[in-house]
Amino acid sequence: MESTGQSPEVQLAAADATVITRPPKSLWRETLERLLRKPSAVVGLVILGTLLFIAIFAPVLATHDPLQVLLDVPEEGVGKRDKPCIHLFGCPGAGDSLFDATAASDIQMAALSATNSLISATSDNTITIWNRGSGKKLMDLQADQPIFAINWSPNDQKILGITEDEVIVWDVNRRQVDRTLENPGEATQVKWNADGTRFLTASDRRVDLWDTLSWGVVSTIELESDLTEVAWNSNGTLVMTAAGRQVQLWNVFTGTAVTTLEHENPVTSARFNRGSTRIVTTAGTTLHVWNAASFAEERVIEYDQPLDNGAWSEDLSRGVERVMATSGNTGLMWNTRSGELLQEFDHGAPIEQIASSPLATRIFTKSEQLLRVWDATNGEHILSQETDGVLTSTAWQTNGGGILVADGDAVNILKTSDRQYIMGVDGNVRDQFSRVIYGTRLSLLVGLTTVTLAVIVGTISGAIAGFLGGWVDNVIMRIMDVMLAFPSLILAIAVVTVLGPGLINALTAISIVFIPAYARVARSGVLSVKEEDFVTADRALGVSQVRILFRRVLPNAMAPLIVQATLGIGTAILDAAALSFLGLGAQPPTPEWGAMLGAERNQVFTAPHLVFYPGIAIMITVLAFNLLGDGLRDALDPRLDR
Amino acid sequence: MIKHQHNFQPSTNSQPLLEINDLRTYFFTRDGTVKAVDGVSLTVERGQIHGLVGESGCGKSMTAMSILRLVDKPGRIVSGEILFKGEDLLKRTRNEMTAIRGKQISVIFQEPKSSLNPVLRVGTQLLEVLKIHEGKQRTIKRKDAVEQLRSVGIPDPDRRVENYPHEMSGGMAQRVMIAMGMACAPDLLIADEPTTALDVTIQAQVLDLIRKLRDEHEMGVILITHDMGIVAEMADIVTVMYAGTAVEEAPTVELFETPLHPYTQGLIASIPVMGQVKERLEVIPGNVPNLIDMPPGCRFAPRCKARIEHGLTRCEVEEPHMIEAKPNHFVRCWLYEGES
Repeated sequence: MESTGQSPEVQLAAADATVITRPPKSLWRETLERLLRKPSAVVGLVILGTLLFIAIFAPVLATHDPLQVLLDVPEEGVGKRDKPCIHLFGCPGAGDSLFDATAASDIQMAALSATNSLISATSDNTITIWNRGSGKKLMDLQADQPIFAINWSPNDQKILGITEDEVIVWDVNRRQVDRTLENPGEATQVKWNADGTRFLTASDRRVDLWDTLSWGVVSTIELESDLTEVAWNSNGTLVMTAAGRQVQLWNVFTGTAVTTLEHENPVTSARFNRGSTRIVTTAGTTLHVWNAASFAEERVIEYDQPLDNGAWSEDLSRGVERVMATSGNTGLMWNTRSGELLQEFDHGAPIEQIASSPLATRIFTKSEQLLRVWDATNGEHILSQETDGVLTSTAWQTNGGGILVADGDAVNILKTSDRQYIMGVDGNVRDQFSRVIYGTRLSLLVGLTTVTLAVIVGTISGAIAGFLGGWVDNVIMRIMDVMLAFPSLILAIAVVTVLGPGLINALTAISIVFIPAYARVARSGVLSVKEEDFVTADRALGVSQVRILFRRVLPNAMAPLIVQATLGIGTAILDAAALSFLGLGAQPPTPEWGAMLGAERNQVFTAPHLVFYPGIAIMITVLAFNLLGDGLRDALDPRLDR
Repeated sequence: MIKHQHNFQPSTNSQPLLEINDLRTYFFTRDGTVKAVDGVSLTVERGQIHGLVGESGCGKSMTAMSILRLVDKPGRIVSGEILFKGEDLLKRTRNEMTAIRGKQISVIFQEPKSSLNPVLRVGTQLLEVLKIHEGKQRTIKRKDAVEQLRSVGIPDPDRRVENYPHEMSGGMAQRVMIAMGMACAPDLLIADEPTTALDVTIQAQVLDLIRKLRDEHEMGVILITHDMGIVAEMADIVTVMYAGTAVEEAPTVELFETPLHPYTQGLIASIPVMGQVKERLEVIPGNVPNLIDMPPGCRFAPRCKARIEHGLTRCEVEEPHMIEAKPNHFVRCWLYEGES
């Protein structure tokens, strides 16, 4: 106790000096209290607070750079307009099943339809078809004899199936046999061409080409040795066959050979690349890359073991050109341009198939009972799946992200990546979630700056007009009337057209459009306040005119302006979004909600989530400002307070 | 320049603080010229309370506003001179006038609550007046405002300084207004019906306050009112106004004892007297004439009983002049013309 030395009088004096003061109740505090009594205003404030938080911490909250195109990421599942995962308890990661179905009996062959929306599984006489999205079984298609092979038409409308005696065409829409054709001779394969106008059937030494107008054989190709591979090129004008030491290209219309690519050893595989500009073949220990237009051999790659299963891993938009092959337990990958060996994948069992994801970021290798997925760029092993039964079919979804796997009586789609894009990926393969998050920043900024600018200019001009009156009033307000005569968005478009598109110009345009509203409100407020007694009193006390207007009169006319401004922010955001939607505001890479809507508006039906999220974001923001504005109006006008 | 005057003042005590000569303020409206103030002359000495009485619309307030040169648009000070400390206010520039208002001449208005800005704290408003006129922005602190409030007798000024006008009673607000008016210790205070909106006990307090401040600061006060009682109690000299002109001017006691002008007589007769039983109060018949369309002669002539009693005919034709009927007792009436 250090204060014991002090005399009692001092302590008494100290007690006396304590003045009990009531905390001053400021007008702002009172308004805030009244505001907080309105539930709607509280909701508005909460939403705005959240939005502000999101805007400030956008770099932390966003999972990606909003401008980065995700193609560079060693990542699969970057199909354009990838649907978002909205599973409540976590989203599937690598190795999880995206689709799960069981057929009545063991599956001999499973296939995805051309658009990945349907899945078929063939077992004996039956083809079972499921919806890929919902997982529901749609139909069973029956044949009289066991089905050797089926093929989906490019538009998902028809399925070709082949049995010992017949070639059957099923109509998927009507869920019945469309027509039955005679098997021309022990054919076991069927394949549609790329546009569904022709198809081929193939047996060991014979390929028949069919036309879907006459549903008859147009021409027949006879081969000297057993067929190892037959394929259409991508525009349906050529058929490639690999048999013995020869790979041949045939004219579909005449049935004559266009060229023959000779090999020293029997050809074990031959494959067109996606654009049918090149062919990869394997024969013995060599891999050949042929030009499909000039038929020249572009590259020969030597290996010390026999090669099989030649395949492409290409994404020409990124300059990725790779070829792959297998040799026993090893998957191999070379750079097509340099011939350099890039990766060796040690599968651990004899590989039967090697395939690259559509964007060439992932590779899977498949042996009889084991499936492995690898990263194509660094060769890392991502996941493996071992099965009890024999893996009968494995194939990439053509939009990536998953592998169709059939073993025993089960059909699965195996997810190959952990990454999830919460709101999907936009048309330019950028993370939609990050863009929406960053859009908050931009929208709040747009709303606040435009309204601030408009309020400052509008209030000053309106206040001066109201305070001075006379010809000044007339000139200013007639200019405002002229501006009000235009529909606001039309005027904004006109201004942007003059200034040129761009976010800053759009802001300027919207501000200009908003000025008259604030000018009028300010003028009317000043007009009613300037006749008050306290203005006269201020004048009598020697307060200057300028000070009276801005320090005395304007604060009294502020309430309606605040309400108008708060409501105006919502409208400003909406207008800015509208301008951006029309391409006059924020320019494409900018993550502005309106611009995002505009960019994806053609995909409303195919990828609704891409317009849903920015749209809902705009709606929520505008709603928040409107709720707050309404609440403020009530709070600032005590007469409405009951 | 103003500073200079201030220093110069004590040496010329003989000079009146304010001298108004033949002030005329007209409003030029579409219907015609409204002669709100039409030839008012009065003199205010330091330390003197000068009462200005008359019924509503007789030009009392407009005289006050004219002194401050705050006559609004259609109105204009047409002629006359307003000598404040010997210099004509009508010849000052607008900025000079702004500097004089509140600093050397202050006003207290009728409605204290509406004369205070509702969105500013009382202390803020008070301080601003100080800042504007003293110019020493830095050194003026909250405690100066508290001091001002204490000097006008507001209880608990420490707390009150943070209040908004709507948190105060009428009397309190009027005290604040007085504090604002007195903030720069003006030489002339114009109190424009300062007690009309207040109840009787508060009236007495406010009037006491004004008197006290007058004594402390040796200032001149123009007390505008229509309440003869207040005038009787407060004023040293009274000017009675009628329809824009001063009709009588006399020391208060003199005026109440021997009112000369028929209008003044009427006014005094209409005051109810305690204990006196009357069926009806005395009234002056008729109304104040239209200020646009004045009668050509004496303005009071149409309502004047004395005119009929004395059989005067010139009243309706010729306008009377202000004459000194008795020493220091001026009147504008034909009855006394030629007596002196």
